[in-house]
Amino acid sequence: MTDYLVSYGELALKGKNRRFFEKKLLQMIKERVQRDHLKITASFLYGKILVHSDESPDTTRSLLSQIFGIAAFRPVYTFPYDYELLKERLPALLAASMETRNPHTFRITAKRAFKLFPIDSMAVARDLGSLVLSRFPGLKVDLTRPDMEITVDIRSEGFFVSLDKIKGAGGFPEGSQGRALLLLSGGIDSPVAGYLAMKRGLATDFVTFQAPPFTGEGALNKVRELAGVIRSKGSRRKGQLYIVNVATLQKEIIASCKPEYATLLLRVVMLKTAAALAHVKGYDALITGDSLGQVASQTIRSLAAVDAVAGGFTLRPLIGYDKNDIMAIAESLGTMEISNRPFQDCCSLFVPEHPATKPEEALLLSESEKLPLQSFLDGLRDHLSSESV
Amino acid sequence: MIYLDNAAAAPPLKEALESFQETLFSCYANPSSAHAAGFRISALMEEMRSRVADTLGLTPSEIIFTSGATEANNTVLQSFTSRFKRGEALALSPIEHASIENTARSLEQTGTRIHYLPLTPEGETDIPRLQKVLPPSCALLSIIAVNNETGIVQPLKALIAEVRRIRPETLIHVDAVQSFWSSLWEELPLLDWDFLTLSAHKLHALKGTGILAARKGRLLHPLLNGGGQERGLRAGTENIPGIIAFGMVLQFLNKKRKTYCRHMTQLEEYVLSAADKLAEYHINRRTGAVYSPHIISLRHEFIPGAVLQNALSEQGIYVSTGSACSDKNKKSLRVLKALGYDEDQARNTIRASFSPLSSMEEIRALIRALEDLGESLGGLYRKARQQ
Repeated sequence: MTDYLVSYGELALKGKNRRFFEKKLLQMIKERVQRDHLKITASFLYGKILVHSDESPDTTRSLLSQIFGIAAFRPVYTFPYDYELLKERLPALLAASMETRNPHTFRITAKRAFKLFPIDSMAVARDLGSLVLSRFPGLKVDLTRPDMEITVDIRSEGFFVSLDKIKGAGGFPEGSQGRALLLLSGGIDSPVAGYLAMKRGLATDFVTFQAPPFTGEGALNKVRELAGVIRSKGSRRKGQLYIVNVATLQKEIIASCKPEYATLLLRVVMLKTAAALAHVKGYDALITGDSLGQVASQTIRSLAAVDAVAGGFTLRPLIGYDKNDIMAIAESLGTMEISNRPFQDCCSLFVPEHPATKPEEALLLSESEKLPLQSFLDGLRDHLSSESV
Repeated sequence: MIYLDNAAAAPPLKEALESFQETLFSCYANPSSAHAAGFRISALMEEMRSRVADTLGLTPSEIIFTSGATEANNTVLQSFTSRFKRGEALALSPIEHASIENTARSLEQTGTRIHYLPLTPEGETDIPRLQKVLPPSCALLSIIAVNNETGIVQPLKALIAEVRRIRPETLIHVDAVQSFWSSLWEELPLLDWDFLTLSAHKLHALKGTGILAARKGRLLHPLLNGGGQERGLRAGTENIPGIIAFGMVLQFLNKKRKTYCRHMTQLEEYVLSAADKLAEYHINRRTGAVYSPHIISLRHEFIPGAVLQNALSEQGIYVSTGSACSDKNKKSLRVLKALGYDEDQARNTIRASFSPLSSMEEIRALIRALEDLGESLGGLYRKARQQ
């Protein structure tokens, strides 16, 4: 069994809300452990979370490094609250790990969370440092760039000694910032946007727009798979995928509206529908994969006009990302291969030859008024299905 | 369900496979095992090999069982190019199945020179131009007897005769996977090819079984090495259930072939005349060329093939766009474009492929559905196009 001390960086700065964030993080660790059927437990340890794991170090590290809100974690050796015992046993612990690490320099970092411990942290560091020097004469102290940093956490529960610090995923625990609805197409960008939103603490569910027979089962299966992959990157046990059939509106756009506005109108339809859904289901924001300037519908004028006409509150985590950066994240998430499968999604149907890049907001509004959008939203239930992912 | 994607996979034939279950559960020994159970299976497998050989006019030792036509095609191409001398070349038609085209492409990256055969405007190999196009160093020529996307039949007899006349050293491989229902099938045993491939699941047997026929003396290099099965040409324990099923189905089909061909020709003729009357639909066939009756490639002037496929699928009618094997592939328009269709025509194409189990009623339902879709969606796409 190995213990880990989990620290949560910027989360701890949140003043009065700190307790809320901590609880959320603990809950997320527990949900993920349960979802993945692991033998791991977690509990609070003032200012940190203590994780006991009966799983292999690889499994535990991989788990902890994926949970949003964890800034870093350390595998720790736990000693009882007995300083003399710690001094007696520490050299043996170090001797064991010396062989594999072969350090030339070290430092001791002591942290005294338990203030009733009579020796201050500087003195502990000096004391343990001279102990190490006397037992391992080959080692030298280097406070700035040591080969090995020995961290000693002093707590009422005992001494926690660690030699490694592993970077966590960062961000905030899922759900600690609210709930969001990701507009998920089959493309490369939206899954990445969803991942970033989740990482920033939003419990994220999914909505996708289909227009059968213009889009087929293949396109929908692709979205299902993408939603599954994104959801699996978070810790929640399950997520929700809403599927909206917009075929009637898609047809209406082609039949009645200005062709250069077709794509923007479809986006108005999607955002308005998603906003209505968010309102009913209690989501705080919509998330899209828009990246500024990427295509005609993502120019600043297009985004502004669509937002003005559609309303709702939309976050665009990728707005400043280059395509290459987005693709690199998609690759690392494992969504790239799925997104590349060539099933048409409903955004890529009927793409006009000369789409508007500087649309007039008033014109977009009047074009959108030609669509039976309100009656569509009133009867949304008939066009909507949902499933767990 | 109206299943019209038989060129992708044809349903196993119940009548032919009646005793199959029994065989499946009793014939589980390894045919390489040196005990009575192993010998029994081995004998059964050899009987099936003889059936295949008889059908193709070969001796049993000229038949190699593989995991499918893709493996058989790869074996032929890769074993020859691996022995190519500097400057030797591989020739293939521009309308080959992906398992030939993509293998050739990958060989090209390692230095093999690829030459594409010229086609006539009708889509047949342009035989008079072969002399100009085929380099003297052409070691292997691969040709698809019946194209899987359009059903066009190649003039194999004349093609082989010409290659033998002008390039006697060139070996000839025939991809005969879709040829069973064509007029070419009965000719195949009489033609002077060197290698030929077949696939079991296109012929109403099971997936995971293919045939590579290699005439005596034509040396191959195995793709897989191991226990020396298939005379050392294809290692790995033989897929006995697949092989037995193929033998059973082949025997059955050989008896019924003429009756079935007549039936499918009727279906074909009906589609050709009915589709001709449908507004804005066109059959992808050229006057003067020969086609297999089981494949009909057709297109709408405006509606993408993928949309027709989705819409038909919603009604329980299953067809494919181009070929099922390349549906998910962005290059899937390659074959139709090589046959002279433009990008839009190729994109708007669907393929309906029949089997002896297809009924006239099903074909009528297809035509009705196409007519309805033409009316309900055609206008929309026409408008989108005009914009």
